[in-house]
Amino acid sequence: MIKLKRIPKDTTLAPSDKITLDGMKNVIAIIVGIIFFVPLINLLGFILGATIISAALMIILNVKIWRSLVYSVILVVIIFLIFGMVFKVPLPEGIVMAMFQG
Amino acid sequence: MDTILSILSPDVIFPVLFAMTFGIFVGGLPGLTATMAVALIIPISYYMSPLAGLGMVLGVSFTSIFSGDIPATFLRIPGTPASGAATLDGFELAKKGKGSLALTLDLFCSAIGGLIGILLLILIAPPLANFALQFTNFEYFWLGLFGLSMSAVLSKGNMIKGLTSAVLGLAISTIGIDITTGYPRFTFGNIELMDGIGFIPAMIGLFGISEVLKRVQQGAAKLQLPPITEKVKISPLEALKIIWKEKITLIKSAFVGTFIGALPGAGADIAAWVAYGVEKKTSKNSDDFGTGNIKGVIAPTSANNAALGGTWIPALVFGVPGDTITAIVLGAMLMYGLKPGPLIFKESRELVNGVFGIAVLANILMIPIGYLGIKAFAQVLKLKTSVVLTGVVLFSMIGSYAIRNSYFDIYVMLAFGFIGYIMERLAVPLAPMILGIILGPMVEDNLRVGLIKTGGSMNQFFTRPISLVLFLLILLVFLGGPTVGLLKKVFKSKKS
Repeated sequence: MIKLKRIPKDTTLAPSDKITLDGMKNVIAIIVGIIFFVPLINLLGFILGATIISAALMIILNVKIWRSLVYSVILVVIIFLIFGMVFKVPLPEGIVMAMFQG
Repeated sequence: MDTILSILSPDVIFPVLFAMTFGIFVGGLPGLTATMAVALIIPISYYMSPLAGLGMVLGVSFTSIFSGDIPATFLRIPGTPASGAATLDGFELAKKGKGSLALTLDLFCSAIGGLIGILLLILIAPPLANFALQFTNFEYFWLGLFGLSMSAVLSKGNMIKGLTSAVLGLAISTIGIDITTGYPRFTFGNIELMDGIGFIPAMIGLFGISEVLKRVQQGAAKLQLPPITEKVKISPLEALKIIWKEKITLIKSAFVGTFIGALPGAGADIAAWVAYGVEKKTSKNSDDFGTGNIKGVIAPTSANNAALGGTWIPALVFGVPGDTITAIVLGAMLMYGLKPGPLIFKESRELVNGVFGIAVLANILMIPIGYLGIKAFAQVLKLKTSVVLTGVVLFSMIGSYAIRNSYFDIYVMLAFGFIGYIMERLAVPLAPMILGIILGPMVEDNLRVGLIKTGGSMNQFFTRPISLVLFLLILLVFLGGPTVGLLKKVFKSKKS
């Protein structure tokens, strides 16, 4: 018990990093992105909806537009393969897509 | 023999190998912690058999704790909190161009330390479980409270903040239908809340999303990590020679680490700092520490991996998690319908043996996987942090959803991500809250059943010998530190 008192002060927990205006925008963007994720994938289907959210977040976080799209498609396809195909988690196909399929 | 076969079957070994690689990657990237790695792997391991699932968690935790040392050594940014101490001497060695040597030492010491921790777990847990068979509701009530108190006192920050966090966790654990009376608590008429807060989404939020938010708040300009300049050259023989010379440091640190890990609420990060402190105190040339001392590299890295074995001792034997990682493990075990506690050693002995076997195997496999990890690290750093963080967000959302196929759980995850983010900004530790959430039902149910047994009398909680000891231990946790401080002051004033 006494030994524990000699732990050097941990600085990783201190909220020392200042929030910049740009950072504030990022925090809000991620929260808003998560809020809109569910309605969007229900509307457009998992693959399209998730790709849009993912690309939008990356663009806000300073990734070039075309790169964001490429990375997002790769990410979403990987997730779709793991959860949708291998684990058979029901992922929404989307209202719009269902309309097209009649 | 059956155990060995079941571990080596492809449905177990491949998921474990995948998880270990994932752990290297997540642990090595600053801002993604070991606990996050475990929280993110749970939705995948959920679809595996219990043995493979628990094996994945073990694999991920060992490799991510090790690989946190890589950026700590090269960039002086700990990859996970448990590598905080590696930023001292490890980084100094890297400045002298010996970063690769420091990392090779880290790798071997992590594996050996991890093995020592696991061997202690294998030796200590079963007899302890036999002893724990005598425990009844009264003891489990105190044990739950003991775990909570320890985590509140030991966690970073001050005791009041730790207690606040623990009590918040307890409050969250009461949400949902009360099993004893059938009365809905804090559900606000919401059907989704009837089953209570989903533990896994809450964990993913607290350790996934909150870390992402913490990381992006500094603005996009600060997101990209600097490249490493040193050419990575690994010489295992040189490292092994040094380790042989410093074997006492390694073994001592591994024991310290396992002990700290076994204390509820204190995990690999505290273990690393304590081992570093102990080594510095007992070393003849303690002034060297912080300037690139080999012992300063070996001590924390052995201790933090050894702590992982230690944290499983209270988790398996009593159902009281030793740290945040085992808290998530306990949540996952309940998901599998496994009830941690002394009976698990009788009822699911094969599973327990399998888990032990995987833990040993994972520490051996860590050497080649970690070797590749060190080699590939320069490439991993070239990944855009923004892309990785977006990946974590996507994975957190889909992982939270996949556990119960519930969209509501995505919002639960978001809420907890935000709570975790605010708490970290206020410097309130998260660990006691997790322990509160997982220990809440244990404390509450055992108190109630105990009181029903005794017809409402509290006597038995204090008169049974083990109960009394546990109660006194809790008092010691809260009063021990201040009392020692007070005595020291009194003695000092007498002397002067």
